[in-house]
Amino acid sequence: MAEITLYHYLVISLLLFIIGLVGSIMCKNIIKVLICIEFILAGVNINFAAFANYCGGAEGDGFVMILFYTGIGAVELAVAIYIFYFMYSKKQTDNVYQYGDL
Amino acid sequence: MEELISDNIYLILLLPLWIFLIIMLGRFFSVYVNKAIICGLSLFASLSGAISSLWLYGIFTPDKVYESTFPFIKINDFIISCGLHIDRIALIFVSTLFIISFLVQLFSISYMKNEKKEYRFYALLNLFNFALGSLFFSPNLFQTYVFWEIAGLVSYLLIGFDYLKHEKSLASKKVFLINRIGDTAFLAGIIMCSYIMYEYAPCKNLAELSFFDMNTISTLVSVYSSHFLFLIICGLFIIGVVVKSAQIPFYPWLQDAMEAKLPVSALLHSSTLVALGVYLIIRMTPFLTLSPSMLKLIVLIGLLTAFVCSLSASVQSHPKKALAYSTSAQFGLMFFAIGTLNIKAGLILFVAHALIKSMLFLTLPEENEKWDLTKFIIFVIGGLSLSGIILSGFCSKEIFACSLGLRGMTALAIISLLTAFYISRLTIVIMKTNGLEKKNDTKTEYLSIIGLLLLNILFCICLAKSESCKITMPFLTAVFGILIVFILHLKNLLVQMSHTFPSCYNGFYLDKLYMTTILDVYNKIAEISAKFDINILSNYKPAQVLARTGVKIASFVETYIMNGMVKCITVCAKKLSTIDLRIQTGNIQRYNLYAFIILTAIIVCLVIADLTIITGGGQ
Amino acid sequence: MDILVSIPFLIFLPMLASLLVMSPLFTNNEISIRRFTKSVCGFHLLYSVFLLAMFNPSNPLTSNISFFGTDWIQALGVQFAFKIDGISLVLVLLTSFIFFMSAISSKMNIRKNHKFYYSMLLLLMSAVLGIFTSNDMFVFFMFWELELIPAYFLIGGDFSLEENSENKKSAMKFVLFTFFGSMVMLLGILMLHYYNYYTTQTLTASFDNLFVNGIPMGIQIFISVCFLIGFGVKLPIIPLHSWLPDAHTNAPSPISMILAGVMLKTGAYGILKFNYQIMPDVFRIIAPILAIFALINIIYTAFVAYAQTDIKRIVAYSSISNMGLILLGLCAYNSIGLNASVFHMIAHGLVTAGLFMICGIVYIRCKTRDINSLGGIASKMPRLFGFTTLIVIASVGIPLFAPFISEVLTIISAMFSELGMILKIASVLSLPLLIISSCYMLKFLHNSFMGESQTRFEKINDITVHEFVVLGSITALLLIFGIIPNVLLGIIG
Repeated sequence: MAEITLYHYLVISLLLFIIGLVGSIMCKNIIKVLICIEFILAGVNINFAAFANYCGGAEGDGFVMILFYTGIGAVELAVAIYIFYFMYSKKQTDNVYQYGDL
Repeated sequence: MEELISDNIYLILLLPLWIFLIIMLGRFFSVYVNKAIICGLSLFASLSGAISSLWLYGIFTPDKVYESTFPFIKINDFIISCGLHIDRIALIFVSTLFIISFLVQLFSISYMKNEKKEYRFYALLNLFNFALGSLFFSPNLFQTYVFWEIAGLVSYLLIGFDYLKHEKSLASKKVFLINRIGDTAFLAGIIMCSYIMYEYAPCKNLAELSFFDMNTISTLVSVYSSHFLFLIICGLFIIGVVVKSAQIPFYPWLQDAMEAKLPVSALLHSSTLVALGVYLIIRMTPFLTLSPSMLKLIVLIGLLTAFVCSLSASVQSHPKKALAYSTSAQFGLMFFAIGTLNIKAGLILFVAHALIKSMLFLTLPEENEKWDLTKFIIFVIGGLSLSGIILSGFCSKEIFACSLGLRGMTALAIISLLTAFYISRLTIVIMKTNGLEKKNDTKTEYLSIIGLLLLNILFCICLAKSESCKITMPFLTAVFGILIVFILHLKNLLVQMSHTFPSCYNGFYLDKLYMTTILDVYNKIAEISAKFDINILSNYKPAQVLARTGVKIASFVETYIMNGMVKCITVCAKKLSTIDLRIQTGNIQRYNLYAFIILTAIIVCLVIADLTIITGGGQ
Repeated sequence: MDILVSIPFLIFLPMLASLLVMSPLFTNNEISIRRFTKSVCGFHLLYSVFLLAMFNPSNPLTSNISFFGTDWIQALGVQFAFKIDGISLVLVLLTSFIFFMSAISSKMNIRKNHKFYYSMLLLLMSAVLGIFTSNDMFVFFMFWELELIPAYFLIGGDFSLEENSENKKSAMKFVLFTFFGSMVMLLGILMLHYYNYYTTQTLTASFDNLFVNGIPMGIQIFISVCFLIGFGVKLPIIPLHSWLPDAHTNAPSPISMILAGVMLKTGAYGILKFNYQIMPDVFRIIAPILAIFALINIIYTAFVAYAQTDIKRIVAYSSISNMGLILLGLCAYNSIGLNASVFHMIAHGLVTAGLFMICGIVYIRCKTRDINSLGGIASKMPRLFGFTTLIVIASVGIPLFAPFISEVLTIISAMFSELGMILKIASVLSLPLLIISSCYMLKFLHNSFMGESQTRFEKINDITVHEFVVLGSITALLLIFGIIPNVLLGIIG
């Protein structure tokens, strides 16, 4: 079995990123868009972790970014869900195309 | 004596001019000038002129010359002077002029009694006296030309005296124009001579062509100009002379001049105005003696005119026209005399002719009026004199005939035959058409006619005393001519002659030729020039077309290029806005996608830039 | 008054009067405007005669009156300079006289817009006087252009009671032609100025100081031709003449008097000044060709005049013919020719003014200018007929009148000329002018005046005192100059 290098992790994070990107662009349902954004963030997170592990060394900058993600990601998700709730009560639909009049 | 002459001679000339001015300006400013005063003044002027010139003729010996001039035009060294040059020849002409003028004015006192505005008539006669007097006394050719033209002008004004009648004004215009042709030829000759003098002569004064120096001038001109040019100059002078004296080929104007009144015809167109040609030829004799061919030309013209005009006069039915042809013929004889360098005979012929012809004119009856017996008798006497049978006509013709050779004598004889023929025919024709009657009027007309008759007799006596007159061939042929007329009269053939010889009647169609060809050609040229001017020179179609294309190009540039650029910009802006509109969808996901793409592009660019810097910097 | 100040006074007096008449302060009363104008013109005439009296050809102080004004445009070396010598003085006198006569005769011709008319008249007078007296190329050009404006308004203006749209077209044609000519002339002036600077290193445009000998011959010929085209529009040389018959025919009669009497002479004066005096070498070369053009002018227009039916057109074409004679006199390039030419300018100016005056009188009375319908007027207007006969006789060239002397002297000068055979031939060929001009002039006289009187002309009046004064003075002057030509010839010198 080959060694697991940096590139494997990068590929995984790229995959997650792309899934999240494509999904956030193409999905009709707002919940799906939000989850896909989480995917994007997760992919970036893994990217940070991989680089931190393989190239970072003693500084540990990348690990700090993972902690930031945890906190900020949760808060941002909460805010997003609250905005969704508000829009749903206004528009009575979860079709993201209907939210365009902003 | 010199002071007497120099003080008074100008008076002779200026007196008629002064009276002309008095009359014209007096009427113009409505100053009341009585008819008696006008006539009296005019008669006084003419009489004083006549007396002074005759007296001067008495004092002047044949080679005495009196000259007094002052400069008229002075431009650097080109000087034309005017003044007086009196010698015997001039005095002969002037005396004739004034005597006949006096008698004609006497005649017209009663003839023109019923005319409106007769003051103009007397004024013009005075102007005529002045003009011709100054002409005969002129010292150089320029002054001659000046007064030549003025005489033509006076003739124009007198012929067109009744300017309200259409035919008379047309006749005066035609006479003036034909005389102008002669004047122009004369002027051309003068200018060429003057030029040759100015260029080549040792003294610039000769450029004014004074008669005093005429011998020198003629020799110098012949020396310094080529033979051809000399002939042309002489030819030009001859044309001027021929036109003025109504010779071939210019005699038709005299017919039109007969539209004038009777005194005008008697004074101008029989005695004095047409004599200007004779005067000029006599003055130009030095020129002509230097070219024998010109002398022959003059003789030829004279004889031909005499012959042709006598033939034409033989068949005329209107007395004035017949007398006009007769004038041309007699002047032809004078030219014949001068052409053979017999100046004396020419002058004698002139004086005799002047006296006789004016007498003949003044004794003519009016249209549709009975011919007065006294006038008829005097007309017959005048006619016999003209033919060369009695009185001064006889003397003058015989003096002339004595100097001719056989050929000349024959020609003279033939012409005398014709002269006698036409004048006696004319007498009988008028007698038939008008009828004779004895009137008992006491008019001044008789006074003047009898005066002319007396002068005729006086002249004849003078001639007979000084010269010898023998009876030669012309006398015999004249008598023969009268006999022929009597025979034809007995056969009643006289009046029909005007119909049997139409070519002679119309003056050999010379007049018709001129009127049709020259007039038509002139009108054609004028019309073509006018059309050319309007259509071609004034027709700026090319410029208009040019201007229109310019305007079209400008408008094209305006609409398509200038406005086009603006339109282009607006269209682009619109297109851009539609594209922009499509981008601004309001769709968050779209915006997301765009953001992602752009961000990726920026990062890629930065990475590439960094890489190149690293790799490039590393190298 | 200091004689040096005379010239600007002479030129600008009419301009000031024009501005005064035009201003709203001036009265609108027709009679007072006219009297004011007449008095200005009359005073001007008296002043010119006074200058004449003081003029003495032998005294160098008074024979060449100059006025050196200030430097006007220093960058070009242009000075505001004027000068009067013999020729200019005589032409200034002619101008004053003809303008005075025209102002007098405007009484019956002008019915509307008096203020405008008289002020433009005075302005035109000023411009023409400036042309005749200027001593500097640019001043000359300024006045040349200045005369266009009043001339346009005077020809094309609305001064008569009847509807007449022809004069606007004629005025436009006049302006376009003259403008084209003056553009070409400006080219010539600029080139002359530049080359003068180039060869002599002095920046001057004054006539006294131009030095032409250093300029190469080809350039000189080009400049000369530019000037000839510019002046050839004004003195009409044949291809460029077509503005003249329309302008003279459709303008009011007093304006025609001025146009033909004075403004054509400005063209001749220009040729005299620029070609004859400043560039004589080129003129000697060009003169034979110019003589041919002069000959065409003389003979061709005489024929065209014969075919016209409008009396004013006949007179207009006779003007062109006589200007050809003036040009021929100049081409002869000798002192006789110069004297004859200037004399003919005066004589012809007077004759044409008289003829146009007569046409105006006939038109006012008979309401028609057609030769074929006029006829027999002489019985109703005998005085006018007398004057017309005198003026027609003068125009034809009968001695004792002024044009005879100038015509004969012109032909003599052309014959005496040293410039070659062409001039001698031209002199001989222009002799038929005497015959041809009498043809159309007598046609004019006979067909319009003589003959049976017509019923529709029953009620026309003979000439009034104004017209009598004008015609009488013109005829008197023609007689005086014809009998005593030394009066003028002494001044021209």
